[in-house]
Amino acid sequence: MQPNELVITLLISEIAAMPLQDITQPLIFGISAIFVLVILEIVMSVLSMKSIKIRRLMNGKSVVVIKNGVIDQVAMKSVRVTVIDLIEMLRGQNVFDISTVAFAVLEVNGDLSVLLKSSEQPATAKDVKAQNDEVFLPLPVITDGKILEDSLTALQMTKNELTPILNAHKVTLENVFLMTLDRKGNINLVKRSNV
Amino acid sequence: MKRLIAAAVLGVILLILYSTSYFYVTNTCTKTKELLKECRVAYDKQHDAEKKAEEINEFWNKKEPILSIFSSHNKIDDIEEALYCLEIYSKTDEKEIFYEYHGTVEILIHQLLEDTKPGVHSIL
Repeated sequence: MQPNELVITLLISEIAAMPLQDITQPLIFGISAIFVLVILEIVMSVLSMKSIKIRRLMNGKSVVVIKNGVIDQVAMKSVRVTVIDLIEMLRGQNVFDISTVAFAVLEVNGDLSVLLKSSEQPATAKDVKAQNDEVFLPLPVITDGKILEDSLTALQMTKNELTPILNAHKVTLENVFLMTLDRKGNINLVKRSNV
Repeated sequence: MKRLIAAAVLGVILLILYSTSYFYVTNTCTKTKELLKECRVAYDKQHDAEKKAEEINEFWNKKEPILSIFSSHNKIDDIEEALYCLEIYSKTDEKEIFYEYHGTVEILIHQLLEDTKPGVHSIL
């Protein structure tokens, strides 16, 4: 959430509560103020999408606080973040040694994004040239004994094709708590417990 | 673009709401002012001022539920209270008190009208 969105959200919730807290206030005061804020928010978000200058003005910009293991003290001053805060945020990202950081960027929403030096990054399957299978997204096809048509459509399956799967697991549709399926045919079935 | 259309629709709804409230409050206040004038003339002539005061009260009570959506409830209640007093004193010969309440209602209605008018103060 961007800073201006947070402010608008807080303002709207405050204004919405006003006619509820003070019954002497007319309803239209709350409604019109909320409408104005929503309109402003929409207009500002569209303008920020169109113009980089407005986006910078409204949302600010991310700041690089660590470059090649060296803390940029000027940048730290400009964003008013102490070293203790920075170290705390790094620990939150499982980084305990600043010298292992290639870049650390303080995002506009206050999060810290960290890119480790290539020598410090964990090895990937590509690095070790390991053969990896294609990954398929498992979709829930039955929940609480009910078939989810959308998932079946996504898997290009019909209801009838589920019957042999259920029979193979010796379970009826009503007794299925959760069943997930992926395109490769991997099944994960959880039976309903008798609680 | 779709978001801008949504904002424009909201803006139109807001304008309709505001103009509805503005015209409703203005019409009600103008009519009440007219009735107040008639009531005062009737009181001065000592001719059915009581009936006129009753008429104003009935008119105000009829308009009150919708008015309370658009204006501060305190102000509406203040006017209602002053109108009841006006009705009571329209039955008596206590001219000063009658004129005082007549003036009070006029001021309160004027305030309500001023609050409804769009201006820098209402925008701020």
